[in-house]
Amino acid sequence: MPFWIPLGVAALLVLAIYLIRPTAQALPVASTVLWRRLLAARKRRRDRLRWLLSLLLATTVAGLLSVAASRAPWLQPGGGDPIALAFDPSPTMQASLPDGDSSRIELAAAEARRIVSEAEAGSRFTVNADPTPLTSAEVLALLSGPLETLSSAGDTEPAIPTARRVQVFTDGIGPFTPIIDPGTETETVSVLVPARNAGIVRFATRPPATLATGPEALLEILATDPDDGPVPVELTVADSETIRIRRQLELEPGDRFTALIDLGSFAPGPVTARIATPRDAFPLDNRASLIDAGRAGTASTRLGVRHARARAEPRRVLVVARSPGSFAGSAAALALEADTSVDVVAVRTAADAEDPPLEEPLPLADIVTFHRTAPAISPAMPALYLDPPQAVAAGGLSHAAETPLSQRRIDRTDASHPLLEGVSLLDLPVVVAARELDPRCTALASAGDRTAIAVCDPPPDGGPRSLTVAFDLDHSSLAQRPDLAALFQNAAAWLTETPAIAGDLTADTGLQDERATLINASTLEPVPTNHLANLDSPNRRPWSWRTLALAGLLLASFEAVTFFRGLTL
Amino acid sequence: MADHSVFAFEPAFLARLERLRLLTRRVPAGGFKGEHRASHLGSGLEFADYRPYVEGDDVRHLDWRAYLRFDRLLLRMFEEHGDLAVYILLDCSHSMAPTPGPGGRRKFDAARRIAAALTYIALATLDRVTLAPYSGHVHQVLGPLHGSRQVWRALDYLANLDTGGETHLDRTVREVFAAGRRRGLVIVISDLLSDTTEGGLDLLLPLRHDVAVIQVTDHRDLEAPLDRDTTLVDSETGDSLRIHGAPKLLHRLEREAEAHREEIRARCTARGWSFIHAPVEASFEELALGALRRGLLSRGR
Repeated sequence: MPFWIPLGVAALLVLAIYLIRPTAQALPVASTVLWRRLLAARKRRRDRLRWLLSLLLATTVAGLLSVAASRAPWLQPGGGDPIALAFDPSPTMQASLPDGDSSRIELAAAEARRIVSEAEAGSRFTVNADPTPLTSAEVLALLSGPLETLSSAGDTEPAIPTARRVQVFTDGIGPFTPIIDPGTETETVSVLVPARNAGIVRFATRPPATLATGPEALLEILATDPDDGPVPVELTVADSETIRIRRQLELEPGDRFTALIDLGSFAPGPVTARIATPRDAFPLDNRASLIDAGRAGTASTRLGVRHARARAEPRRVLVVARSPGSFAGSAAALALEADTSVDVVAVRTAADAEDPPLEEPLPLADIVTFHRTAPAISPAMPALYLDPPQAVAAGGLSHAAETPLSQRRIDRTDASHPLLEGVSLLDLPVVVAARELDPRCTALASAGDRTAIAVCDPPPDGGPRSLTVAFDLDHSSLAQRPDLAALFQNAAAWLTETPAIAGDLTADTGLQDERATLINASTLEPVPTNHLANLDSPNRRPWSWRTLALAGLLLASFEAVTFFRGLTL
Repeated sequence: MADHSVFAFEPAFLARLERLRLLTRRVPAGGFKGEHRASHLGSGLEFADYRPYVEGDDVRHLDWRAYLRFDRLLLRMFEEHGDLAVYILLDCSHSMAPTPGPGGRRKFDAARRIAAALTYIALATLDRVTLAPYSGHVHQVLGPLHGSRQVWRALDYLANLDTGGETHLDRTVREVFAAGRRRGLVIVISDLLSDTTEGGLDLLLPLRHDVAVIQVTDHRDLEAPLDRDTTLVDSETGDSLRIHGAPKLLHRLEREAEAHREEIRARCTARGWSFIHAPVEASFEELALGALRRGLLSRGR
């Protein structure tokens, strides 16, 4: 509403009050001299009080106007620390609501507008990590504008400025953990509205297990649906020339569709997988791409799969084996030979299996791989220990001379570690000894109480990383699976501290975190359906500085009417 | 039309008036013979005192018997008697009769009665009386009158007066005494409900007259129905004054009127003047008693 409308109404009100005052009776008197003397005498007494009251009122009016003009927060009813609004920047906030017209982030903005409107007059607000306090009008304008500004930062751990209350708007799916001052009142506003979705959660080329195997891609589709039945999904996989695969799928909610796609017949260049689902709420996971720069042609026999952002030069690997015969033809040798990201520069034989002397100087290498042997002193370069002897401490594992070997299945892995990206080890039978793990090392895969794979980060004072595979690969089915090549590829990247393949894959293919596809998998309470119907109700604007100014003007008008109405008794 | 009813004095009352005379502390030199003792010794009949002869004195006033007895030349002094110049300034402004009709003219009638009585007394004692009715300016001045035979002329003049206009005592004093009149007794008869009262009285001070101020009041001037908002309209100026009704204000108005009266009384007393309050409700006897008490009148014969 324009400012002049309430101003005009107020002026009319003041005028009406002045006009409707009762008329006075006219009384002729001999002289008004005595009356005027009386009034003057009373006026002298009353003038001081009246002057003080007038000064007080005028000061109040001036103060109100000053507060309104300066928007001083410390004098306003809702002054003090602002109210912080924190919006989850996770991709799932872009998921559509069942009506298809709005998204969760729009719902969050609407909820935020409601909270702003219902806040105390004069309250100030901050948005996400921006410490700039905004007035209610400003934050309403921000929330009514493009919503990309609310999640553009993408910081899942934003440092929320000091606030008297923090309102967190999230669907509870993404890893959104804002950093909030301890003791600050925090309220989580759920914008979770369950909806149908199906998405591609994995689309990656797989290193072949052997040279005889051609390049292939692993595709996984995950379906989620809160209450409907099977989810119809149309899958298309296309190369740079045409659509190579088109399939109609029907997935039950929670189903994971997995397919291995032979890329041998695909044209060189990117490979794109798309899915289409009716009433799909989250389109961001409906497409994924592969950039297979290494494939020269459709009949490549040598695996040339390499990620676009992978290191251009292969990593140089020095192999120290227990004996020349033990390494040649082993699963490790085959895997290293097939991995184009590494280049075995030398294979040395340890003189003593328990304490192999390293030649000085070592051949120029990036990684040293110990196959069924381990040095007494850790090398000064990244090390990969493969089936180290039980009697030797290696790679963070202590010796286990008298502990019998036993076959177990890997039942626990750290799937979030980049070394296991694209590697599935669960239920893999391994023969592993019981060893103690160094505190600075981490069990990457465990079989019961025994560590199957361990990684050691560098100590604080610096040093190389190490990876220890504590079981014999040649007696494991892992050697027959592409997971071993992926593990070695990841190991080469991780040990040399280059970005892991998984990170690059996500960035280049547009794959979302698998948790994003599970757009309904939240511990938060869903938003009630009837609540959504009220989102479009107009927001009541809180008292603004203009309202305060109008109040001051009204007071001033009444003061003027009282003051100029004439001499009063 | 002349209204002589206000001067319907009883013969007995007139006889009582004749026993009174205006009292003044001094009578300036000059003028006709009268009954007032002059402020100086002169050629009167009543012996007053001796004083040593100095060169230039009239030798006819030497007391030769005293010379023979005391061997000193002594001059016999006699009291001088003269007439008193009396100026009666009568307020004829609208406030003296704010409403038409007999009831509304009580102040004016009372003022005229007082003026008539004083004129009667003054003429009876061979004083010279000048009647100067005024409001915004001086009306036609009557006098100076001398001798008892002028009483009826004065009463007829007073009976023909009417009220109207604003009060301007200051302007009146300037007009009446601009011609340098003889010093005497100035009697101001007014309700004093004017802002010019003080200024007019102040103008009389350097003229060295004896001054008597008679304030005529009517209690009805202090009454007003203040049960709601009232606009008071000044009968003289037409100015309006908005009053937010409060009956208790009337009590304060009475106190204010009393304070106003006391203020003028104090001013007069400080100057050696007489101030007499003459409410219309009081009888002339009460007024005369008050005047006697305050030194304006005295019992002459």
